[in-house]
Amino acid sequence: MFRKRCRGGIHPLNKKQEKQITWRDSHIEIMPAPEKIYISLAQHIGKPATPCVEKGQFVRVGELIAKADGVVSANIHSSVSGTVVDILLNPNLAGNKVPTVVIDNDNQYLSAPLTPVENINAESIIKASADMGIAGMGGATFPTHVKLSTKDKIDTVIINGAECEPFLTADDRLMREYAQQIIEGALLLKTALGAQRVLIGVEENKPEAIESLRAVIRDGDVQVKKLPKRYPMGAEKQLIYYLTGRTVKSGQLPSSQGCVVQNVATVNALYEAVYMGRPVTGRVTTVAGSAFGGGRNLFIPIGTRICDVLTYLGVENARVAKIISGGPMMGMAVPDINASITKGSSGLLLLDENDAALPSESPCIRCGRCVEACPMSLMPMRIDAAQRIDSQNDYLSLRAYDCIECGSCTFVCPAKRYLVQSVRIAKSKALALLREGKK
Amino acid sequence: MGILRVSSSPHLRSSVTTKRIMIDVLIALFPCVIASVVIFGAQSLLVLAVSVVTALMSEYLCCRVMKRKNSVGDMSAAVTGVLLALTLPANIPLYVAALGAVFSVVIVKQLFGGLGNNIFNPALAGRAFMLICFAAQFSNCDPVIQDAVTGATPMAPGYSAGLSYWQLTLGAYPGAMGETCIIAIVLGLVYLLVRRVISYRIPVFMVGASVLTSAIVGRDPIFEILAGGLLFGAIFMATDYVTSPMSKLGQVIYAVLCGVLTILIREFGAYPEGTMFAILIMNAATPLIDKLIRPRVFGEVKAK
Repeated sequence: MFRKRCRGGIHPLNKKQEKQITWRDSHIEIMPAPEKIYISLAQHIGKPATPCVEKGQFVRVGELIAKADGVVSANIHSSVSGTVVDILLNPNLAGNKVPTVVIDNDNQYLSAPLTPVENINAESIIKASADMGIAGMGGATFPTHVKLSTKDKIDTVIINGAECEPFLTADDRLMREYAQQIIEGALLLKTALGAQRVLIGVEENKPEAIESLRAVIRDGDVQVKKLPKRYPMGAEKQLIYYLTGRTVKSGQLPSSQGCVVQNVATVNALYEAVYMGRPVTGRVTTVAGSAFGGGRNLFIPIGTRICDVLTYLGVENARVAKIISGGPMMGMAVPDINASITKGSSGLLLLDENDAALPSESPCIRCGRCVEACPMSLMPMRIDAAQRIDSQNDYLSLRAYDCIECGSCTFVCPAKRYLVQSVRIAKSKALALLREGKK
Repeated sequence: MGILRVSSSPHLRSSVTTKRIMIDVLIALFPCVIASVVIFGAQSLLVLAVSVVTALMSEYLCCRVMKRKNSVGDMSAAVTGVLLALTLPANIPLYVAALGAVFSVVIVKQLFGGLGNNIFNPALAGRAFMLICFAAQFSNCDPVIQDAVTGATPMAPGYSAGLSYWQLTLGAYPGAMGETCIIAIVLGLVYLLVRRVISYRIPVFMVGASVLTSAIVGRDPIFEILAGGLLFGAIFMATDYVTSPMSKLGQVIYAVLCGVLTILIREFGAYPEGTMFAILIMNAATPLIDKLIRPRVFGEVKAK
């Protein structure tokens, strides 16, 4: 049935390039933790967690090392057993120095006692997600217990298995190898929110994942829906619109439309938290890129620094010109390889000189490709033109604040203009104007 | 590892470039070029060559004088040169063609700010300039091909040679070099659509509006499409990115008005050919259309 429920969007890879992603069929490998791990205390949206361990203290795998500070914050647990060496400032993936707990890995992997939830109900599920430090693993790292505590009435749980960013296959592998856990985890979400149904959206380029998930569903309220292969099909608003036909209004959250969206990795982590009592101590990350040659899906313990991942994989450092945390469309370029993997690092792309080269801009030919590509139906080149002369009124009238920063416009531009970058500036200024207006 | 490159996302770009798009347009115009040589002989090649070379040289010199980065490489001047030539009769004096090319590139494009900033379609505005300033140098050009129709152009008032639709489609009759052979134009359209350079919207709505309007005023709709510059204009001129609106609805309005105006000028105006002026008039309206018509943002909430 043809439902035209996706506006704009792009196809970042053609068929030939898609075929080259051979690591889609590579099993998840568990990477042993390096000698020292550097666990960032600011790996979630909200206030960084406050450390509750001291230098010289012995910690075990899964032991709480930092407590959530305030409502929008998350707990952090150790991914190895060993001695706490220091609590210092270490660069994060963006290059900013953040408080970090450094632990010496004794390679024993002694585990702290696990406490699975005994009485599974809405309250205990939400408490477990808070205690076990679960944050959105799709990249945003929003503390899950806060999302689950929404006051809005929720009837639909949406599990995001789209993985629309090119080159990333971590979620694909998770769905194929941990289908049972994901479905059970989805049902936990349904219980926690008191919802009526669960919709799992998976892009159609992952038929094995769809099969694996469908094979373990026994509950009639859980359905796996095929999504068209298009970027950004996994963007929240677009995903909700496609699966339910509901439009999340500008400035509103999905819960205003009765939906909550969670990434498959987050759901898997929730399963492990509730049924096994395991906190988040690592995640599956796809390592790929032209400077790497091929790709691998690694389960990386949190606190592993990028330099340690590169050493483990035997990467020829000289070939690497650019490192991206996440996907190529919305991922962040990493300036310092001493930064460590966090709960939100879904991908690590190592680019060679060719791919790292930045194109130079030429004049806008007003072709309108950016307008066609924008999933929010904005007019990026008009916002860009307004931003270059700082025409503040236009930021509001052109709705720059509705931009989801997916980068589709910049991708398609034949003149290689830095559109979304310009719109970002306009967006933040527009939001500031709105805030001022409200005061 | 040297210093890592850091930039703002996205880090991936499509392979489409401005130059590639222009080259695609040139390829799409190729059938028309072949048709003009076959129908009107080698003199059409001369006009083409003069137009293109003059356009490129004017662009180069302009960039030098205005201290702008040399933009000849983006091929847009070449496209202007070819488009302009194809709207001319093959027996036009070469100096007139050259002057038209200079006007198109220097005045209509570069003086307005270069690529992307011109209000009017350079080739079309150049053609209008030539029509007004060098009217005497324009004369009927008879085709050189065998079994061709000679005499007045179909668009001239009081035309009575009675060309059949098939003859009009083949294009072996007096007229502008690139505009007579419908088959060549349609081949170009197909190429542009397949390569996703243009969308069906503007050509379809412009021609459609022309058909409707001509039926209303009592002209033969099929004749209007097959004779004159309507089809060529709808496919190659009206679809010019810079001078047409950017939103889908804007493009539809623009195309419909172009089509209506073309027929109105042909029927009630002093000029036999209406497409050129219709498109130029709508070019002037494009900035206004773009300002007024904004697609509704996904999840838009009306401001109170």
